[in-house]
Amino acid sequence: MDLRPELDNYYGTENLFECYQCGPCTGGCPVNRYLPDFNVRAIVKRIMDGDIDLADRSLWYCTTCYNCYERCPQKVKPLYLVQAATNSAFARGLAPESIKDMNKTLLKCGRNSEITSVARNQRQAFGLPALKENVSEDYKKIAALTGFSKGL
Amino acid sequence: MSSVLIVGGGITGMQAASRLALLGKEVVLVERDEELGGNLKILGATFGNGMEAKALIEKREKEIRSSATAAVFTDTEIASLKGAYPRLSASLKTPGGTREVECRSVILSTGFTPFNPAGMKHYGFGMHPDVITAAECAIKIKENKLVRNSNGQAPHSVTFIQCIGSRDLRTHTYCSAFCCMYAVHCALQVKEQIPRCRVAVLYMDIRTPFCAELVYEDARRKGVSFFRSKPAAVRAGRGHDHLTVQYEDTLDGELRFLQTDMVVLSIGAEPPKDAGYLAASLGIETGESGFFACEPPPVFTRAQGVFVAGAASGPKDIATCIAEGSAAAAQAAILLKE
Repeated sequence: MDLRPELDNYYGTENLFECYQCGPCTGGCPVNRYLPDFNVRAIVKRIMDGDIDLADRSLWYCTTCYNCYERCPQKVKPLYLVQAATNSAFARGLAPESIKDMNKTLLKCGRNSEITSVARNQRQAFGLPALKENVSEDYKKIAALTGFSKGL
Repeated sequence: MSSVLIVGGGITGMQAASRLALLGKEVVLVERDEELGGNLKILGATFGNGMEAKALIEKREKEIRSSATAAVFTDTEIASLKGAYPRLSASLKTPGGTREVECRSVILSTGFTPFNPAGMKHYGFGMHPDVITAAECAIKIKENKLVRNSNGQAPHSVTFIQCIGSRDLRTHTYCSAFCCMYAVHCALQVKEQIPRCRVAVLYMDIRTPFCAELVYEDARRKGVSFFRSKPAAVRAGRGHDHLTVQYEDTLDGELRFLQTDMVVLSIGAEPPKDAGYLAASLGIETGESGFFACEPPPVFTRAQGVFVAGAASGPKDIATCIAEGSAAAAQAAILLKE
């Protein structure tokens, strides 16, 4: 999948072709240390080559820690390129089911996880006020305006 | 009135001065430092043919000092430089007071300033004594005292990190041209002095042109390891007895942790800080990099009678500097005939 024609729509992707493929992004990546599938440098390379697999689950492993952003000598901002890829994947409905489920929950009840009876009881025991149950109205408006629901 | 003013007494300026003196032209050589030789002074054996830097300097210094037409001012700075070809006047700040010099043309051989990696905290520079610059490493090799700063013992492993202050949008975007060559050369010398030492070079791209490629191949044959990567970080190990270099080998995509006793940062070149002032007073330009702009390369500038030689127009290796010193001297001599 060639992401290059639509990169202008995403923030911070203008320095893509400055990349030397030198590797401090992946070298300093806390995710790569435990999940070698997620290689920021390789993702940047694939975007440069116009050959990125947007259905790849590993795109979603990024923790947005900004290590790659800080260490890149060419200000390529690899983090924003990964985000461009995930945003593009979501808009095409290619996000993993777990991400879709989370966003469905967001639209349903206004939170990314439903309020369980355990949480309700615990709050009551601690003397905290009860959480509002349905706060999704604003999200629904935003989703309608941005085409968010199309990705689900 | 003297013929040519040469600004900078490094190898380029000395070469130009000795060539002009040989032709019997009147030359004034100005050097900021107390001794001639510039950046070459710290080196032992030079790259390629292996000639000693000291011998290289002494040979030219002898030629200049023995000439009746060459005047050398060390420990001297240029206070001001005015006029244009064929009448230039310079005011020199010598230890013995100010001195006015008139000349017909100028050769700028101001060379470069080594990059200061003080901002490279993620490589442990300034935080761990065993993280040193290539200049310090060259001095250690020259004195045959290659030891760790932390405990005074010979290192079991040395790691070179390339492109420090070069090819980096945060510092300097240009390639410093000679770092790969001296790193490969130093790596070989480390191997020679301590044969059991493990030597690794972490590079972005090895840029060893022409016969330097043979030295690079030689280094590979003699067991220097080359890994294509710019490391993410250098950390002090447990008990601070070794350093750990964290990097991704970009050729196989594996994250690796390299334990090493010493880290050498291959620093690049910066334009000298008064290049802008000199350019403005002579009516020439400095390029995007801050070095003098050549039009056309290698030695001409926009202003007639003003020549640029050696690393003053961008980082260069010793052989090119010597060639450009001669070239600038020849062009200045041609102008003097007119």
